[in-house]
Amino acid sequence: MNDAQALTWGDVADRLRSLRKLGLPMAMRIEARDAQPITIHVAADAYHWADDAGNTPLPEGPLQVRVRTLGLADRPLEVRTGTLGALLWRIGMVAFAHSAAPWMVPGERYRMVAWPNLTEVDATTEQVQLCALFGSAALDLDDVAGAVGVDRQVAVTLVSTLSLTGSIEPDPTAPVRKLKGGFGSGPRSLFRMIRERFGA
Amino acid sequence: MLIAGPMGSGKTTAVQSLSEIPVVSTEAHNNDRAQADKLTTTVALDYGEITLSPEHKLRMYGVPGQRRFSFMWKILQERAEGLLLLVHNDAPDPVPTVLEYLEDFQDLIQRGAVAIGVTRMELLPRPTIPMYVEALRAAYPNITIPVFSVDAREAGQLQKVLVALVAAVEATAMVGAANEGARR
Repeated sequence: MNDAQALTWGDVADRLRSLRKLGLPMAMRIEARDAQPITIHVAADAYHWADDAGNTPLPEGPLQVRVRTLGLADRPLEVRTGTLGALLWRIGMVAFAHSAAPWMVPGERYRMVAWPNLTEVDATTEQVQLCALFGSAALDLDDVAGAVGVDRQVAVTLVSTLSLTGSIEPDPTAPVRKLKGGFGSGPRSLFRMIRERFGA
Repeated sequence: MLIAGPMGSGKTTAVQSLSEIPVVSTEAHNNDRAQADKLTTTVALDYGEITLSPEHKLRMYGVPGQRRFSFMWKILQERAEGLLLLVHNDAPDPVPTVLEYLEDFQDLIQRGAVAIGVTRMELLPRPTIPMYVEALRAAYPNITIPVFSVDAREAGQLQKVLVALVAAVEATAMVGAANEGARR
């Protein structure tokens, strides 16, 4: 399947999410002008991108995407640049920098079911705090953003990205919880002390 | 802060990487080369420190990995702020090993005070992190235990894990307080 349209990273994220939900051995090839193609083997949790040094900015759009089913004759990716989770994080941060993922439901409460691998992704301390809260219970996005002291869009971008990686789920049945106080702001907060010590 | 895990998982190295003082290690000749191919192993504790403020230090205890020392884990975890459980990915059956070790740290798990560090993934990339996560979700469906790949020699990586672990502890306490407030 070739997608000859000029796509954005948001479009790519949408297609990737659909592919991952299928759970089939599929490969996606993302092409951009003046950049080497990115090849993703979805079920193998791996990607290859010759340009990538780990934190290389994603190429700018417009993008083209080609998707195909992997058969028995297809060999695994011979060179694995990294894990798919790390790449999805980077895609999400670009795709949802200014808006929510199209599949997000306004007003929903979210529970994080898997942490991003923080030694592979470039997460800010505020994003770590947001993850910690969403990992503790199903919470309202505005409430969590307020507790950490960040703009709502920061939480929107994170939750959208985590939903792309399959790490966060809506939980409409969860009880409503109102968080009180600021995260890690108390004078005896171990988080505040460790953050200051490591310059995080 | 406790650092636990099977022999050869990198506990001593991790304490050495994080500590700002020379680590006090008690080591002896390793008589069990079948389990871990190294000359020495920790049979008591590794001890290191990080100064957080003029009044506060974070004390790190690398606890011995042999199960016969599990009585020590029980004593230490009562006063621990958190646990970093290390497992090396090239060990036999590392995922079941993590679940087995976690059985001894239930109180810390309930407090949101456990993180898993998988070492040596550069040598053997499978099991993958999602595989660990899936097993932990099945065992602890209501608790999200962080799992990270980590190089025990890299202080920067360990610091990220430590920040996340402490964030998880404080988040759990914050949510607990919100639940209490809702009940009143």
